[in-house]
Amino acid sequence: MDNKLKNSEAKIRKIITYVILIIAAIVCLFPFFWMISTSFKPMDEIYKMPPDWIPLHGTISNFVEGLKGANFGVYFKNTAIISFLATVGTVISSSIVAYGFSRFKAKLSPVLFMVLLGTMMLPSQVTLIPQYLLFNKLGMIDTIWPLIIPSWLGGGAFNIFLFTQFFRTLPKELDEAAMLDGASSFKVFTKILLPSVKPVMLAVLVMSLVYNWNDFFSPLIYLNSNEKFTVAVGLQFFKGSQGNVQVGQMMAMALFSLIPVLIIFAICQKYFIQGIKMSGLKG
Amino acid sequence: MKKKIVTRVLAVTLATLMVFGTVGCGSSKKSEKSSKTLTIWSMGADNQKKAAENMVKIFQKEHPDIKVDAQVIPTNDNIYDQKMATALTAGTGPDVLMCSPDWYGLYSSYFEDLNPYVKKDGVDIKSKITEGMLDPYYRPDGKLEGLPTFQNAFALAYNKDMFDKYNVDYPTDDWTWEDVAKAGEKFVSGEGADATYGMVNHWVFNNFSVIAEGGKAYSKDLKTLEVNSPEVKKGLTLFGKLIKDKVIPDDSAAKTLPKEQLFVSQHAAMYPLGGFETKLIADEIGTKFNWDVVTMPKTPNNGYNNIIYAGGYAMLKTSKNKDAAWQFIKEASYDNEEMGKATAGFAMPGNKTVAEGYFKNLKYGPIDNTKYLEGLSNAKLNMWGGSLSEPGNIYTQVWQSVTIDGQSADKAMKQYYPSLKKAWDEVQEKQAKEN
Repeated sequence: MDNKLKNSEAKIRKIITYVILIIAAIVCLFPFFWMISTSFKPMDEIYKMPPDWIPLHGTISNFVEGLKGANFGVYFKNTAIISFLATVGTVISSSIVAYGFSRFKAKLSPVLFMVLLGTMMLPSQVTLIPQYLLFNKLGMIDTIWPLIIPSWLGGGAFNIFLFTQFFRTLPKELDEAAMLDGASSFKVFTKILLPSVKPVMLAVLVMSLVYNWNDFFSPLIYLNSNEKFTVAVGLQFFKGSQGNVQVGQMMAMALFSLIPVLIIFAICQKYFIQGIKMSGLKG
Repeated sequence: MKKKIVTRVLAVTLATLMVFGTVGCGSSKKSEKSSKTLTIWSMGADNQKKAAENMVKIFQKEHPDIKVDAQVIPTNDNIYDQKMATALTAGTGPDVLMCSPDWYGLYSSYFEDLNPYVKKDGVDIKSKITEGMLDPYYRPDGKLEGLPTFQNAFALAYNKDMFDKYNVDYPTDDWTWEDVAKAGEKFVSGEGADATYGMVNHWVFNNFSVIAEGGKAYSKDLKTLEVNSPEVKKGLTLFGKLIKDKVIPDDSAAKTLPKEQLFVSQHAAMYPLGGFETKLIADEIGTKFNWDVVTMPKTPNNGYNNIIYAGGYAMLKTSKNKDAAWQFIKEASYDNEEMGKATAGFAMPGNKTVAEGYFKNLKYGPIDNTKYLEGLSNAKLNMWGGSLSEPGNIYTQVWQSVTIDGQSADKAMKQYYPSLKKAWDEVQEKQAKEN
C-alpha cells in the first residue's frame, strides 16, 4: 500500500516537473517562434491582432529584400572569419593560461588570479577608449584584428576560470607520471591535460562562438567600412533613425544569421552541458 | 595519429593567421594611401542610407579625380553617436562627417570653420540654401560648423474615410490643438485590439508638448531655461488629457502596435507625419483608404507649431583633404542639383532650387510636399539634442510622469524642475568654459 502511494506520488511529481518544464520551454521558445513566423509574413500580417501564428499568406520576400537591402552575404563572410579566428584563439590561449594558474605555483599566483577574476567586473565601456587608442596606434582601426587579437591574449577571464576549475580536479600524479617518462610541461599540457578537458573546451568553444557571432559593439567601434561590417551591425540597417523598423526583413535576416550558431550548438550541446557540469558551475 | 591531427590543426590555424596577417598589412598600406582619399561618414538606414549612397555616386561620377571612401553607419539607438564620439576622441574620424545642428555645439571643437571657404568662393549661400536651413549651423560666436543637406518637418495626416464614417469635419490649416482634441474624442471606441483612437502616439509629442500651447524650452540665444512656464505646463496637461481620454493610445497600448500600423490599419484617424516617413506610410496605405494632410495645428500667439529634424555635413579639422571635403559639403548642400534630388527621396533638400521645385512636386499617394514647405515658417529645431540631451532626458521624465503615471503637470514640473535646471546650468557652465 505504502509503495503504491509512493509510486503515485513520484508520478505526480514527475508530471508536475514536466508540466513546469514544458511551460518554461514554451516561454523560452516563444520569441524564437515569433521570429520564424514574422520572417515569413507580409507587413500587414505582422501586427495583426490577434496574431496568426502560421502566416496566412506566407512569403519569402522578407529574405529576398533583406539580402538585397543590405550587404548580407559579405556580412556573413566577415562574421564567420572573425568568429572562427577569435574562437580558436580563445580556446587555445585561455586553456594555456589556465594551465599555468592550476599547475605552476608562484608567490603572486593567488593575487594574479584574483586580479584576473576582478576584471570580469569591469564593464567593457571602461576599457573601450584606451583599447581603441592602442589599436589606433597599431594602425589596426578598420581591420578585423582588434576583434581577434584580444582572444589570443588570454581569451577572457571567465574562460580561464572555467578551464582552471577543471584542471584543478585532475590529479597531479598524471603530470608527475608523464614527467617521469621525460615529458616536458608543454607535452603534459597537450598530451595529458588537454585530452581530458574536451567537454570544457567545447563549452568554451560554443560560448565564445556565440559571443563573437553576436557581438555588436566591438565591430561597430573598430570597423568603419560597410564591406567589413558583421551581421550584428548589418541588422541595424533595418531600423530607421526615426523609429521605423522593417520588422519582417530584420527577422528574416536574424533567422538567417542564427542558423550556423544553432547548428554548432546542436552538435556540441551534449559536451557543452557536460563541460558546465564538470567545471562545477551548475546550480 | 593524434599527434598528426594536433600538428595539422595548429598548422592550419597558423596558416590562416598568416594569410589574414597579410590582409592586415594590406589594410595598413591602405591607410597610408587614405590620406589622398576623401572619407565620408553618413548616418541612416533604409531611404536615408540609399539617399546618402546615391549622393556619393553622383559626386564620384562628376569628380573622377577625387577618390571617395564613403560609409553609411546605422543611427538607431545612438549607434552613430557612439561610433563617432569614439573616433573623434581618438582622432580617427573621417574628412567629412554627417552632423546635425541639433547637437548644439556638442562636437563643434572638432569641426572646421567653413566661413573662410564660403568667403573664398564668393557665393551668397543664403540665397542658394532652402530658407531657414542655414542659420542653425552658425554657432553663437559666428562659426559656421556645417552646411545643411536635408531637414524634415511634420504635417498632420488624416484618414478621410474615418472622418466621413464618424461624421467629423476634416482638419484645416487653421486647426489648433484644441480642435484636434475635440475631433479626436469622437473616434474613441472599443478596447484592446478593437480600440480606435483619434490620433497615434508619436515620439515627437514629447517636443510638441513644449510648444503646443505657446511655450518654449529656452530662449533663442540658448542662455535662459524657460520650460517651467504656464504655457509648457498647459501643453503637458493637454497631452496628458488626450492620453487619459484615450484620444491617443497610452504607452502600453502604443507598444503593442507601432504607430504606422495603427494609422494604416485604420485604428487611428490622425498621424503627425514626418517628411522622413511620408513615402513609407504612403506605400503602406496604398489604396486602402483616402487620406490627406494639413499643416500642424496652430499655437497661441503665433508661436512655434512644428518641429524640425535636420542633417548636414561638417569638415573635421583633422582632414587632410580639405579642398575635396569642401567640394563635397557644398555640393551636398546647395551646389549640385542632382545630389539635392537624391536627398529629396527622404527629406527636404538644402538645395533651394530643388526644394522649391522638384521636391515640392514629389507625390506620395494623394499628397505632395507643399505642406512640409509651408510648415517651416514657424518650426523649432529638435530642442533636446546633442549638448542639451541631459536636460532633455529630465524633461522626458516630466513628460512620462504626466503621460504615463498620470501626474499633474504642476506636480511633475515641481518634482523634476530642480534637476532639469541643474543639468541646464551645467551645460551653460561647460559651454562658458569652452568659449
